[in-house]
Amino acid sequence: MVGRGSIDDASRTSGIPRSTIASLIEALSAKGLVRVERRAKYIYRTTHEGIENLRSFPEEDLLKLLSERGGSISIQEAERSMGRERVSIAVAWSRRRGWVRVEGDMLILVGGGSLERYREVLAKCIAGVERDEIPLTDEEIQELVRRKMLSREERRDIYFEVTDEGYNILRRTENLQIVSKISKDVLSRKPSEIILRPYNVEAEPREIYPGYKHFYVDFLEMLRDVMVSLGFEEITDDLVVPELWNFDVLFQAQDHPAREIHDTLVLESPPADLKGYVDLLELVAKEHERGWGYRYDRSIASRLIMRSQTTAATIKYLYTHREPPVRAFIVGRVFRFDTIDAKHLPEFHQMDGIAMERDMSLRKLLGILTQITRALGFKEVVFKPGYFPFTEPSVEGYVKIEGLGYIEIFGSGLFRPEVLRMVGVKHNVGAWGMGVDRLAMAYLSISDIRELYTPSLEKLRWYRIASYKAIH
Amino acid sequence: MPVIRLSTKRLFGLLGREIEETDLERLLMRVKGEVEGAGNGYIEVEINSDRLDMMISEGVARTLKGLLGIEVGLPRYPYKSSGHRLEVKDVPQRPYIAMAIIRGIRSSDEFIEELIQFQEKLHMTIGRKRRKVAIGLHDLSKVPGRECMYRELEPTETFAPLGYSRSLKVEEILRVTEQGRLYGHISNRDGRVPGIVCGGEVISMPPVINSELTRITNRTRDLLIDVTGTDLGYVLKTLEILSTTIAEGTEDRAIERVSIHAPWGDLEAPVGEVRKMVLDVGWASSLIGLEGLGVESISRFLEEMRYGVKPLGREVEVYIPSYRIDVIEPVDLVEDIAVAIDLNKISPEPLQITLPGRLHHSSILRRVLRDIMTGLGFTEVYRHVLVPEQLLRDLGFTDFLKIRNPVSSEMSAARPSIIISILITLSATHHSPKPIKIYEIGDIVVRDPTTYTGWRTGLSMAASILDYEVSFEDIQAPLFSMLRSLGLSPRTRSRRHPLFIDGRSAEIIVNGRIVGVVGEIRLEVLKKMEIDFPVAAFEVDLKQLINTQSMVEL
Repeated sequence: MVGRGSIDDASRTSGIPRSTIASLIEALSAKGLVRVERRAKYIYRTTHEGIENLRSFPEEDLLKLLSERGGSISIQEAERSMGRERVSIAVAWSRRRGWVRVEGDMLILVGGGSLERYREVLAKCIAGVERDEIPLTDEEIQELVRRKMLSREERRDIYFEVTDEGYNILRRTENLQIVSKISKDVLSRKPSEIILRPYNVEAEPREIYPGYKHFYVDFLEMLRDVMVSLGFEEITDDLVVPELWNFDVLFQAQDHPAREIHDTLVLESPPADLKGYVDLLELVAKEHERGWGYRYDRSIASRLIMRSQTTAATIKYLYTHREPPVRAFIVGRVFRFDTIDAKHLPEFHQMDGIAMERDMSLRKLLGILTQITRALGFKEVVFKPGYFPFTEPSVEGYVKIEGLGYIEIFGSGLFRPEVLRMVGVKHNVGAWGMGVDRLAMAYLSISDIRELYTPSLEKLRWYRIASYKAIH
Repeated sequence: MPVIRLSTKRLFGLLGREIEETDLERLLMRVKGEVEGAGNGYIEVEINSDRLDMMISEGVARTLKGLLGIEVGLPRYPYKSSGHRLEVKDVPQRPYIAMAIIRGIRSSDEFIEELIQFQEKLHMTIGRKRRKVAIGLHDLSKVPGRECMYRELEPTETFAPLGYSRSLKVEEILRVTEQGRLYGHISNRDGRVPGIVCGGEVISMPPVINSELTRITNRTRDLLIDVTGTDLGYVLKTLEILSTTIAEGTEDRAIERVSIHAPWGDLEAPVGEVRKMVLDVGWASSLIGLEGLGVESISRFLEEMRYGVKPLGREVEVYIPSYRIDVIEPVDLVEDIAVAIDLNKISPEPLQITLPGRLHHSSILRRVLRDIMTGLGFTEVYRHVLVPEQLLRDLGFTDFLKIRNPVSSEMSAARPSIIISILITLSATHHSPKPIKIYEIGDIVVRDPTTYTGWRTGLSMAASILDYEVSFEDIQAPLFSMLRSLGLSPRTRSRRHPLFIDGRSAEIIVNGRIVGVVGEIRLEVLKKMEIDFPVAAFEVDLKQLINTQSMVEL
């Protein structure tokens, strides 16, 4: 037993909560058993903003981008890569550090350095740290505080020392038990032998977090619920498909630009074994040669790719479900050769649906599309004729979103007769597909598509809370 | 989709009237055009790639005249012979060529701008970046003679390419000019490339560049069009689009044919064939869903869309102008009827809910698991299937699916395990308040010789705990709790694993079937991933789990 110290120290060494010790010391002080002195100290704690920048500061990102692009880049290009807000911060601080010069709207690399020291401090301060444990100058700390990466909290600590009278009492209280946490053992004793210490019930508890479901997965589940409520059955399929399903059966000519390496992710793998689809290939070859007038190549149909549209799954399902009624949908991942920026990722989600009825018509298809958009919470949908190689008539649907204007929500149409003949279907089939990520972004007011797949727990917590209102 | 820039002065001139901006926008939207911008006498319109005939004001005006009722039915173009003759030699790398002449064009800077744009849009779409089809435009008055020849040029032959005042050798042009560098490889046979030679002078070297000699200007009156390519059908279709659309802007709309004598046959082009298609009115109206449409109204709608019609009882004989190469089947006519009606005036017919909707069983399982894991205090993450190939190698994975043309090294392979994504996530967020308990349910891709692709898309779930101190039991306990909640009786059996510490690594067994792995992550792996805290994790193959008989019926 030390007989003196601060409440923080006592809590750390004994493991007794700070609140318990504080209330105890207060009681002892009132009785004159300890002397108490209050002093202030400062605790530095990393903020949400600070945690976001733990890997790299904006100006470091800019430095990296500039050195990748040979030392100069336009502001617009940097914004496309890093986002407008981050670029404006990065430019301000990298100019101040003498790393970058601005000429017109070009950024020129003129120096460099690392901010690892700062980032180490941020990592250390997540749990809250006192000034003398931070190896930075006052100005450097001030910079982090000004950039809202570090917050400074004043903490009043209480220092105490046992008085002579206190020591006298200590020697006389051997029978009486002073209890902090109530255990089962305590309950078996006579209440008169126990003194239960009061807690400081007004102190803040330690922070704990619940488990959260992912906001974007919940959005995907909501889409599934909408489709199920309209009588559609969910299907799933492989991410790795031969071009047969992704393009050929969808009447996309084999030299169609969308099939090029600049649009589709192709795989390092031997081709698919299409022995089971000899009859289908026969029909496909016939329709392509008749419709597009070129020599159809079966080896192209067997090449493996990451599926670039979920229609690859619905058409495959239709091939084995040829009698009406058929109502099926899929929500799944698709892959394209898209450069990564705030609006594009090589991997994203689509929802596709098909409906076959004995008397399927354009008007009925417009009916389904209207019902889906209503169920998603949009009052109005505007149709515009469109073009897809595998549908005719083709329709695009637009909905109005506050602050964004009209955005395209789906592409749609009745499958072309060529497509129906290929998969052996005798009835008309309505089909539609929608980009899910963009819709989720509009719903959740997210401007950068990468946020949907964020690794940051802080962001997951934040979006989870923000999404309750939008989805539920 | 191609975006074109049109001069509104030209467009209104061709239409013969001016149209308010909002009306124009609405009209264009009805024919698949989306106005992207307007101002300074121009509009920018995105045109769908099936309407190649609308990539210039003449074509847009022709279509809008129908919708506005200014001019309906089949557009007529008088054809005559030009007296020009083209002899075609054997050009194996690019055998096909056809030409047309249009006289009396109303040239201007705006016209030239749009004409070049028209040419470029056709190159990008039907031309497959000039590989399949390429177009040359010439001032006819500057073309020497009426006899032209299409043949291979030797590397040493010379002419002045567009933009040059002096002659260069063919091999120099391929090397020195920008066009040469971009397109010189396309039809190059050991240095010999196709050329059009008229009166002894090279006027074009398709698909690369034209000669300066026949440059078109704002004073050009008569136009010679050449189209070359590797597919005769597409060469002729392209020429139909160009000749009819450019002739649309002339006084008499006349098109002059050029006779072609080729190893593959003799031809007078452009042909200008008006195709005939019979449309069953009952079928067309039921496909649209408007039963009341009669022969008369269908005929009227088709005429508004610039088709010729001849009613025959319950059918209509439809005459399709040669530039509508997108019309393949009667259903293409039905779409145009719907366009003429206006899609937004067709009242949608709601779906009768007669079928029960159903979730896929994997979705049901996913929902149950998400509830259980939330209850156990885990936060869900959702990451990409694509991960860095190098990372997989560093972690000891050898058999996985690689992308041949990755967009980024960070997304260059398909994940064979979700623990990879969990580790990547922890590496990015390990400084968050502890304990960090996360999980992900998602797709993986693993090799499977029993499938027709050789790969299987699996549904997998991984979870992990990161804290100042973590033990095997810390993760084993929630794992067992999760499996027991599904009505399963799990056990673990010691088994080495590349990601887990020896002696702290096990496989998960349910009903005698291995369904996953669990363990403490190896220190070398944590170092490699720059994770500063210990981690324990498990992964369960959900398809295996669904296959185990005793799982509660979901």
